[in-house]
Amino acid sequence: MVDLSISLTPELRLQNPVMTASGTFGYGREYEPYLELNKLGAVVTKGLSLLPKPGNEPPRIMETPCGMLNAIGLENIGVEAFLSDELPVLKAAQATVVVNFFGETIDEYEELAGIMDQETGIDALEINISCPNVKAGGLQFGIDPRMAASLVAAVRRRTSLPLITKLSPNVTDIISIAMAVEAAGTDCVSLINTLTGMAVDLQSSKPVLANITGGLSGPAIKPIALRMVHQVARNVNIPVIGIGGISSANDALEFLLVGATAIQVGTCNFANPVITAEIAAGIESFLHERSISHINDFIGSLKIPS
Amino acid sequence: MFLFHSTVLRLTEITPDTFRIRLSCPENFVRQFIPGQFVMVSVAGPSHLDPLLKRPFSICRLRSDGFELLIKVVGRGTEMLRHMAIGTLLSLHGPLGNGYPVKIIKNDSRIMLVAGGIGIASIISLLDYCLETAYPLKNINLILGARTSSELLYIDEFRQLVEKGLSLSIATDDGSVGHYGLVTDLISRQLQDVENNPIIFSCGPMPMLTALGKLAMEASCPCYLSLESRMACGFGVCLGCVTRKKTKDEKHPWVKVCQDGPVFDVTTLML
Repeated sequence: MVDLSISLTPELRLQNPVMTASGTFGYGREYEPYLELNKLGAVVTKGLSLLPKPGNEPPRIMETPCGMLNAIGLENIGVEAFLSDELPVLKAAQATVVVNFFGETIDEYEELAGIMDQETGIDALEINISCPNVKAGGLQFGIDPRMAASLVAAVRRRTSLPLITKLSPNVTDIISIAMAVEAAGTDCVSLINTLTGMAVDLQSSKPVLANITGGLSGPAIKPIALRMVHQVARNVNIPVIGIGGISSANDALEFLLVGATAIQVGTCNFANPVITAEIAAGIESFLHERSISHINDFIGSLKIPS
Repeated sequence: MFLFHSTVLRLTEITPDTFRIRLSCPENFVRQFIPGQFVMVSVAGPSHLDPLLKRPFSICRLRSDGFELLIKVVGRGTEMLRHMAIGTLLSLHGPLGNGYPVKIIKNDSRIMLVAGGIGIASIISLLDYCLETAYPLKNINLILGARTSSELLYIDEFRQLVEKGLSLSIATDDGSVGHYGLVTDLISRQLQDVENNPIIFSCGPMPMLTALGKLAMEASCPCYLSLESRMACGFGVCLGCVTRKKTKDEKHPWVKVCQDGPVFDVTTLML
């Protein structure tokens, strides 16, 4: 037996490193017909705001080579409906729950963190400072190290739950942002969110997405994500969660190899609702074949020729 | 719904840009199927990532060894499907969506089935259901719209049903067959003629559905529209396929075509 369990913080131990990426897994219940949610490392729920948010006008998605563009615009049911209608389902399934959340102001982030701190059944919070598809909130907090740090520090003061900060790749220097949020008290960083992209229709001469631009995800972005995870993991002393185009156990292993302690699977959940289970099984087989008894012995074992 | 691997059993070209593809499925699939439901079909092989997402297609007909899809080539994915060899293994997900509300069809109700272009794929599943349940053909009014005569699919089959009582009307944009113009012209006229308001079921291009929906509401006819939308998942997660519902609640203005539909009561939509 290979021990796949990892610790993101002393309180947040996952039975395996495979998590779901926010915005690709709904609130979890949608996948119950396909998966046992308590077998996942963790379920990361769709980004939550204080009040329900309608999101952007359609068209909202467009497939691209090995990926997709989305401009959903953080549509969500709001924290109140999540706590009353969705969290009980996750609790009943005995899933490890990470709630992704965002606000338009630092006050909103703080208020949300405070509300969720009082709840049982939430194992960690993921601060979204990296959505490219909304005018207020999201990315505006994620592109400047000082702003990102003040936000994280403010949230940190409002909750004792483990904090993960999800970073954007749409910046010049992701390492400086990661280091800033580490200093401000985040327990982990997760990266990357989507890359800003665009699609146009030659027939109509119009943008495909109503929002004009969208976030690019899927296997097309994996090399960029892998590079950023590698760079950040070498420069922070907190766990890094790797995200970006993971579609197989081998992809997940590559992120672990470069230093990610856990990974999140995003867009590929749409194409294959059981991909997370397949990835966890594939990681176990790989380590077993190489007689690696604990995943920690594999994490960060990249050999860089001198 | 099922996640399963399916074998391409047969592929028949119908016109230069439409084809039928027969796919195998689990036994229970057929038992669960409701007319109007769809499947998500992977176009790439199991180890390929491009195209990444599955494609939604209405289930056209159930067959003894599987089911059939009727597909129009509109892009790269459908073009790839057209060239699938017999025996190719595809990943599928379905049946998905709500389907047509067949329980509201009583033996004495009159129904109007309206198909625009490739929308016939979905409408045929409902027509087949009516035939299987011995619903009287004389109570069915099938109205087809197409750009031109060569795009009228299954027309010979429908003409045979006319001999058994089905009422068939056709409209083409170029006037090559039937009414020269829009299906909604025909419907407008027919709604004035019939004594009892029919229940309307329709699938086709959005401008047609919008015009039809407005006509139906003016005539106080129950009307159910099957919508098409771009989808990443097909089961309610990606939120890519939303369309506006009739509501004053601006916090919740959408319905998901994949999960709340694809079939909607016209009175619930913002047309």
